[in-house]
Amino acid sequence: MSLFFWILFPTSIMVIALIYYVLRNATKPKKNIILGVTLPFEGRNSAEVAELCRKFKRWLNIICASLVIVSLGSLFFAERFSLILTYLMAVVFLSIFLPYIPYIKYNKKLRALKREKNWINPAAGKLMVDTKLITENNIDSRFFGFKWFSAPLLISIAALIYGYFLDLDSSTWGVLILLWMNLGIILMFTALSVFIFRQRPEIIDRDTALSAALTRIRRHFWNRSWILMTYSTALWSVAIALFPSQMTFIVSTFAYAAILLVVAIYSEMKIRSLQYKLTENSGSDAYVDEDDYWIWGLLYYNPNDTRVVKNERIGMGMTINLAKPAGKFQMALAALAILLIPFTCVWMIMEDYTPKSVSVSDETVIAHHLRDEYVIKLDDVTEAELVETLPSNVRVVGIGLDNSSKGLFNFTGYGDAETFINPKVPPFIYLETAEKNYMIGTDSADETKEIFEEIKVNVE
Amino acid sequence: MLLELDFSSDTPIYLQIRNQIVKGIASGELEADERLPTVRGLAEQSGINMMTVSKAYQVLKNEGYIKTDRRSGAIVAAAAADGSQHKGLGERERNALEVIIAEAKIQGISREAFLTECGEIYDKEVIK
Repeated sequence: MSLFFWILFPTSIMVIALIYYVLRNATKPKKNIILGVTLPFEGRNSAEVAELCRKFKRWLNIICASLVIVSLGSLFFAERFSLILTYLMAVVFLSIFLPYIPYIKYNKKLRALKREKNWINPAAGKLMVDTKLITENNIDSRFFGFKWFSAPLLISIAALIYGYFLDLDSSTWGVLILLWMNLGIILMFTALSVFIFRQRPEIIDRDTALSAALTRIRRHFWNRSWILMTYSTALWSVAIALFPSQMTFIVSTFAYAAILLVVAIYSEMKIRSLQYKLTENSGSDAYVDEDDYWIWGLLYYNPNDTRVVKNERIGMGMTINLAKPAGKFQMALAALAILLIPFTCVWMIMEDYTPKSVSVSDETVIAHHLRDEYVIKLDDVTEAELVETLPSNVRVVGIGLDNSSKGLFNFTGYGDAETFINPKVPPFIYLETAEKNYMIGTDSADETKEIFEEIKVNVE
Repeated sequence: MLLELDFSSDTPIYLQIRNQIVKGIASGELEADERLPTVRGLAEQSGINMMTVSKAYQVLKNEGYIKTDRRSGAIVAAAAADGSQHKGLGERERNALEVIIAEAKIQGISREAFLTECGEIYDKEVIK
């Protein structure tokens, strides 16, 4: 099975697992909220609520187990990158939406139960402001300070400077772009850490100490996450700069992504656990109830709130206020990005499986595939070689799929070459001109050999 | 103390802030010389317009419930908190009471019932 299968398949399983955990965890009361509905203390412990949660979990189990089984279907495409990617993207797509169907259903049922039992908090829909919390600085959490971010920033800058001393070839430029990008990421993380720190404190009920503790916890975990992520980014830059090879890039990227993921998941799980424990006894007196502003308990819509970005009610995430034009725009962008995925997959399959066409006519070699075309005048060709085995290569710019390599590649022993081949079907035709080199081929070995013979005659 | 602000209410937000702080002083939740958030702090942390918060504080200051200082912000006036501000009902309070009494009479509530209810509310607000 290809390497990509072992990357994509566990990734899709992880997405399913994460969504499963988040939604199942929503049945545990945190800050008086279950399945996106705020309930008083007696409501959270009632038999009816427990029954609704049980039914929801049953449906969640069925859907997520089915998604895991469906994702196993990717085994049939284990050697074909574009097909695996398309299949598993479809699974991920379904994983993002399907489990939320029972969530929304039981959110509505719980809200109906809340109305039926008259568990409506008199303060529901009102803005709660704890003056003590704001005044006495009970939150007592300090922004870690820019000094924590200065070290990774300096490391990243040093790696970037070092990168300019590397031998400049086509692959080095990719390294430099990455180093610049990482520097930008560190600056962005630093700015975001300040932004997050300044978010409003979390008010749960009249207990100022509880509200202060939850706010402190949230800020602490965010601070820690930002710092870990900036250091990870800096170390990633060092690895890429010191060992600029494809293997280093793959291994270090994996390690970086893994660190970010572990930090994010650990922090989220820890915060949820603390929110659960600390708010176990809340909900007997006045408590915050913003259900009216949360569509299905998921989407925040509050025209009275001046903020575009707000804390999620549970966990440490942030969400967007859809009542604001900027919020609507951001949501539209996110939706567009998700909807582009199927189009991208279709495009990739077309790239991979549409036959290539190479022909020689009027002393010109024309290589054509979908919207790409290379036109090479035989008069310009100084050397032509039939390459029986594809040399090891690095993609500089272009597409590298199972059946299609197009763009600029760097071949061992040959250097950079504009490439237009099916890497699975040797031989390949290597052409040198004054301006560029080319590596071309068709989907048929015989056809490639015929074309080479034609080219050779003209070149001689 | 916890302010509960209702954006769908007919009562303007600045008045809601003012009324709840007054209730907080009356109930003892806000004590003499207790600090309140600064105008900017309250506005930033609640999302309420700064002008609205400023107006509420101005009204409270004019009525003698709080004192404000540019550096230290707002504090509950000692005279307001310890009940020594016994000047009798002002004209505004009398006018408001007249409307409430008129509505009670229209609804057929007797004088005794009205006074009993007033007593219950009074006892709820004042705990010292």
